[in-house]
Amino acid sequence: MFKNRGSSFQLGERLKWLKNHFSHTSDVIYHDFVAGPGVACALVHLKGMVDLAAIEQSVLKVISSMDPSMSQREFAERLLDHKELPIQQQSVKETMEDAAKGVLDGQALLLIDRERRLLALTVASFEKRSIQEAPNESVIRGPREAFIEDLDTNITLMRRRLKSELLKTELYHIGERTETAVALLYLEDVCSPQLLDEMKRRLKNIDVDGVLGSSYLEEMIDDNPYSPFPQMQYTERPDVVAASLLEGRIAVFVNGTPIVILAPVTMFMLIQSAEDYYQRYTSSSWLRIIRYFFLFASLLMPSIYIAVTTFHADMIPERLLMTIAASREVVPFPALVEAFIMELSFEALREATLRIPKAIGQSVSIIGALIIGTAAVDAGIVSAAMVIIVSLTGISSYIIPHFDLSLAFRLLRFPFMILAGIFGLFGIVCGMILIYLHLLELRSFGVPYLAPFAPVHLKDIKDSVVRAPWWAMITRPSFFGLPGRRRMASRKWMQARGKDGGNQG
Amino acid sequence: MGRITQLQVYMLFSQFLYSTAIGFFVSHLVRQARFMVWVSVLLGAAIGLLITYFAYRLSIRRPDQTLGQYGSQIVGRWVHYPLMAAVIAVNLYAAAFITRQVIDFIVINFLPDTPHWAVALLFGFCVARGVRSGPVTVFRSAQGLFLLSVAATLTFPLFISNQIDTDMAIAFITWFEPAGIWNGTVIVAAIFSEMAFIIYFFPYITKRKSMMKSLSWATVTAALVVLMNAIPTIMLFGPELTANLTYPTLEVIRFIRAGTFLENLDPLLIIFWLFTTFLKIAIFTLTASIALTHTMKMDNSKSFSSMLTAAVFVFSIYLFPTAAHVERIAVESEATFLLLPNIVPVMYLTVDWLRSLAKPSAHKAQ
Repeated sequence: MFKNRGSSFQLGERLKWLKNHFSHTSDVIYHDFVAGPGVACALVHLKGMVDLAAIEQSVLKVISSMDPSMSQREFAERLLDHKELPIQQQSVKETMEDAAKGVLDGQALLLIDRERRLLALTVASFEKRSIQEAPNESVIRGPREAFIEDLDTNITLMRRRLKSELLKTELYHIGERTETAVALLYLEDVCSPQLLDEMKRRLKNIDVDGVLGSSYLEEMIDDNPYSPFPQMQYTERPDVVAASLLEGRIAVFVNGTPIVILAPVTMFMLIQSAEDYYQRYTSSSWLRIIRYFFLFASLLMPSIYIAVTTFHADMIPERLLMTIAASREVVPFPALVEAFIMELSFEALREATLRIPKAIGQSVSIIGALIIGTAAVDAGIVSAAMVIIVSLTGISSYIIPHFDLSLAFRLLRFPFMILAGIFGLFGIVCGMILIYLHLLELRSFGVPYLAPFAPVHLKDIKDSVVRAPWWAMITRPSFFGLPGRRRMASRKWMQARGKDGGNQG
Repeated sequence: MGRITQLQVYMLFSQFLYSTAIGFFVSHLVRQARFMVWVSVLLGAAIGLLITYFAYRLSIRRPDQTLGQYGSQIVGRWVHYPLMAAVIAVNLYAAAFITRQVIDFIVINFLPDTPHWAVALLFGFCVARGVRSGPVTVFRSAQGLFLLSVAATLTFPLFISNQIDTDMAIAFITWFEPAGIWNGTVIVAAIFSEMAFIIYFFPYITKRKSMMKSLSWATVTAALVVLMNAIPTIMLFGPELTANLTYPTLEVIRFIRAGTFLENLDPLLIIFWLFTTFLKIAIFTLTASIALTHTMKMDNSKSFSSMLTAAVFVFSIYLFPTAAHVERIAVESEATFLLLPNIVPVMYLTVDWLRSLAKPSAHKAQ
């Protein structure tokens, strides 16, 4: 803590304190100069974090051109009280500790000799990525924009979509060392106050040294930390966040990451894609049904194959059974071991494809999938049927829009395979009962994970497994507990035409 | 406290009632009532609903408590405790018996080389998880699969419509055997009166005034499902063969040929049916757990849930030595022991009513 000797607030003493405070910190710039009525001043800032041209133009030039005949007191008053520097964001710091924090946050600090107060100037400028197309949530008809790592830009993207004074942004700084800016966005008249209070309570109770991504917060604030299922949604698309806010949900923006987290969420929301709302409802509904089918396929396909071939061969038609039996004849392993070998290989291949350099990634995929796969079948280590099953399962898992949910199903596939290998379909059903019970108990900020099916909210089923037309989704989802749920007045022009007495065309 | 909705009550009890009825009771029912099975089902369902109504009348007198908590105020501690002990024991026995029926069914039909204990262990783990999560989760679980479960049980018989002997249909009107009808009615009444368990879940339920409406609809749904399975079974196999088949519903499903895609659909049956039996065993165990907890003046039924579930599954293995033993109990005494705990609330209601007649002012003050 800075201790002033006497009451002189000598510049040299305070610079010495700052240099000591930022010891072994080579990127702090100390620029001392004499200005106005011969007053010693200093500018302190971080290298690469401030706009040097703005400092030159709006600070140094202005200060050095100030009337040298004025008193030192008047000089300080004009800068600190009248804010004569042509910089929009400037604040007066009362303590050295606060001022030092400002420097780390990208502010330029102006110290004036024998003046207690310090002037913090926000002239931050650093390299940032431009707004690009969403790489992981691409759509055909919808908007292309995606968030970037800069919080202010991301909030601007939201403001451009929701031009309402009821869109509230509350800022927090989380992380003892990273001081990461975290913003809560919600629509005041739509978001439930209880939900908002709960979110704030959880965020305020986070005690961590650093937050480098939204996933850090997600794990700290979700309801059941031991569940494999994600209890918050993430997205990189501003339109998805806007739609969620309009439903009464809360968005958590974290500076330094292009991923925004949304709460609360239900499992059915995680199986919806942004594209669903930009295509006609008939196509969207059909795609959703396909997605649900393959969701179960990604979880159960290998285990059903194991169960049917090992315990329930009587289910398979004779000719198909002969084909499968012929392909398995040379395989020395039981179906369970065979499935494990293939699934683990597929997982390794998938992980390797993500990690290896892009230039050779495609070659490795071809070698892994085609050459090794074909060789394994030819060598009689695995059957062709199993290769088909594992490939279909792999493709199915990519159909799930939310990657974390897809990972949860990938993980659960293995216990299901073991259950199927020991107990057949009975084992699979028991596994499903256990997962179902777990999902029934799971909540996301108090909202049941399986809503609107368990518990049943009949009105909300219209946007779950299928998507009703926009004009039929008159009310907002009810499970967020909002008082005013109406969001549209259906197709008013149709009603007007009916009153006018028929077709106007 | 009330978090179980009336829709959940309806959906749970619908599945609860028809699960074992179509799985294990069709042959016993047909053995007794023959072609008049529909009369037995309708009469039995009505009697079951009537017994449940008495339980409901007793429950609404003290809606924020369960029978375990207030029973001693009605009949006195010396009668209440032994009665509750009997109810708990019978519920555990019934849960163990149904569990054993399910395990035998699975082992005989699908896992002939798997030991009973292994199947019991896995299914027991599921039930333990369900019972531990409490009544709200168990009732809510009935919602998720309700439509699929009812649709599956109603549509399976439709696939054999071209194979049934329609000439037999006239016998459903002309056959008359009062003794058989009555015996069948008792079996159905024993199953349908299990809705009297609401007396142990009453404080958890919302909108209690609509309770009888929900339970009536559950009765109608379950009776419809039972009839939709029992009548086509009789028309396919005739009453004699149906009465002598261990699992007639399974045999009906084995008659289904879904084109050339799947040779045999019966393993698919277990997907939906097993869940309804899970609900049944979970509710029996949960009832015992809540009754024990509240009789002992405790609050959290989780304290006993794991212990009681373990007891159910140990009993299911050791109390019934063979499948023949299970069959004999099912024929001779199952209806009686199922009926016993359901009659208990009627007795409490009668005593409570008599006491309120004797001391009207005291009852009002209470």
